[in-house]
Amino acid sequence: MAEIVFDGVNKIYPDGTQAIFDLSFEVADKEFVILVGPSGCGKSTALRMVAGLEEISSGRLLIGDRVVNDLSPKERDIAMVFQSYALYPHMSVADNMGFALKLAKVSKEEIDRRVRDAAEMLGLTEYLHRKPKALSGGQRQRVAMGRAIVRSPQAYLMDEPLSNLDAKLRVAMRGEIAALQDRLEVTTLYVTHDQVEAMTMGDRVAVMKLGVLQQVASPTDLYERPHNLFVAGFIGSPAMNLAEAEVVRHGDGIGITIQDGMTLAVDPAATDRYPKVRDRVGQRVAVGIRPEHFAAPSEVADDRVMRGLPVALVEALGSESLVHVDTRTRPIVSEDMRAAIDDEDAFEELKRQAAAGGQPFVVRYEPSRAPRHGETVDVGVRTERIHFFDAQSGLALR
Amino acid sequence: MSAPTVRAGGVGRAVYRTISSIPTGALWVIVVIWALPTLGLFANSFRGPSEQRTTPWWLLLRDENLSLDNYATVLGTDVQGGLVQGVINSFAIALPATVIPIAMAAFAAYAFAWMDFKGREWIFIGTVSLLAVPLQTALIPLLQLYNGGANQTLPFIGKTLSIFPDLDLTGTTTAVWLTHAGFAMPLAIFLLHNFISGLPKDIFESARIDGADHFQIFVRLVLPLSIPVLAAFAIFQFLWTWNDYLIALTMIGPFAPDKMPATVIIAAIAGDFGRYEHLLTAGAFVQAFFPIVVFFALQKYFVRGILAGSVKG
Repeated sequence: MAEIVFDGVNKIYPDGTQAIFDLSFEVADKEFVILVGPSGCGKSTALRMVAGLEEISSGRLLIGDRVVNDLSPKERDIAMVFQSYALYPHMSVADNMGFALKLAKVSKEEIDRRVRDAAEMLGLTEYLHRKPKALSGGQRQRVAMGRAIVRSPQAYLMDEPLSNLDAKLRVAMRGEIAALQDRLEVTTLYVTHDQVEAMTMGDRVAVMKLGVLQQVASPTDLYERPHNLFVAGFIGSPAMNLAEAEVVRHGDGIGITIQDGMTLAVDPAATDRYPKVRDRVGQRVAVGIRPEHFAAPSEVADDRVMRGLPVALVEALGSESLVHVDTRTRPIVSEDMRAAIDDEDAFEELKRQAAAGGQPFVVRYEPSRAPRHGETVDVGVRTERIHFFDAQSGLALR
Repeated sequence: MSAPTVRAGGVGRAVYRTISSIPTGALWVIVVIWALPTLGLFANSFRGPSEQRTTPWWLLLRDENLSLDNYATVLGTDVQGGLVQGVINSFAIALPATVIPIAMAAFAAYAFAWMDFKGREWIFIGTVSLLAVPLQTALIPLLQLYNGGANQTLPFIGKTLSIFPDLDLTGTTTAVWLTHAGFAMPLAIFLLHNFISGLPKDIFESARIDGADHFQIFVRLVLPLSIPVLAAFAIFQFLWTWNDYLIALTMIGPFAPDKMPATVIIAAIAGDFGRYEHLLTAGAFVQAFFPIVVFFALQKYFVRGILAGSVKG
């Protein structure tokens, strides 16, 4: 059992490209930390550096008080679960799971006992003699987990272990892995590009973008107090509605002109959380409103309602309805957003909307109260939950 | 509207079926053309010298005295010391000439594919480009090397350095299989490298994390997973060396007739002025018997999908 410490770690490839910039954070003993970010953000590279599969260009990496920069994967005493599972195709499930122990010259009885224990834990007992090709995707994934478990290593490293499973199984395994980690109490670093996995599984989540660590926090913290525009846009599904707005004086407090001729009063609770907004009167800032932070117009004060928004699309999900309403708010087009959206086509669409001077907002409704396509609605904004960011740097105005 | 479409579809399907049967049909034609001479040889191997010379082989069933005499003669000791000894010699050449290059090339191919060392690419290119050296040009130098070694007298000092010792190999089967093994290496390394470098990287990384070193990865993962390509190359290499005539004749030649492989003996069976020409048929079938056995023994390893279930779903 051990902690994993990144201390100013850099990764520079021989051709000069830098994949990781001065990465520093810590995975505490027995903690489950998720490393999340869009593709190409360096999260897998970071994990592979812990595993010893990538060299560390500079900085220190510690596993359990030991600097492991120059140790081989074998000497680091870690187990890794690969996205592809990387099972040995010619070996039975039992041999796959016992391979590491066999190499470590553990006695046959001991290997057998530990493989059986792990198989029981994962419900694989009846498949122990089978070859990987005779297993379903979910079972293969379990074997890959079992291979890590039998070793009782200092730490587990998991590289997108669920991304090859179908959606339903992924949800089931998500819970199972989290429960397993909780039970085994082994330090775990888990890489994923799926922010839902990040939010639901880990004790803490580390968000990366283009090789730079953006924020490390508990899932709730990340959701409620994003450090910058990128984290705000990346975490949460459906994503936060982001728009450029001008800060104005409004009565005793301040308001935001979110689109021409529409000014919303900002609740003092929001300005308490983002005190720097008060200094930005007359300037444009980035404003974020999560889909669930809208309300019926009757539930909020009159000066907190966006009026006359045409409904463009209704996604009825059963438990909730996501209503896309057209607004004339100005989208934020920046590198942060490009990275957060992580989809060139979607980003192009955003740019097009920006040029056209409007973008849809996603509003969460109770299914029974959801409007229909083509209607025009008024939506109240819970302005106490609004987020504010600097439009240029993207940093939260805290 | 719909009726003509259906009819057109029917015609289309018929045309499609006709066209798609062309490759199969062509293959069958090729198979027959290829197999006919062999079949004729096989038929003739049961017929006496006069029948072979006077009537075509497809009248086989009209012959009254079909016999195994030809086989008995070639396997007996009367002609050229006997084909039995020749077959034994052929094995003494073909087995080491198959096993040794494959074993060495597998190690080399793994190293070229998965180990990081300086100059890896250039050494690999150099090795593979040796494929271009024709065996025939090396016959005489090799023979000199085997019989006398390579020595260099240093200028001024007058001392003689032995770069390669005189192993006195001429007239031994060792000289033959050593030559075969050496010249098989570039192709073997090239073929095995292609396969081994295509094995999924994740498996090797996983094995490294599991604590395996290069040797363990090679023995426990690469070898078992490479069985199809090892078997394929083994069959080819065995065929080539088993059927070799030139090298055996050069390296053993007049020095030791009792070490000659079957190919050389069969060639000599015909005798002066082709007196025993009719025995060639039986000799050829004795020669062909063993490669066929090897082929059928190894063909079950040509299973596709040996990597199934390793990575991805």
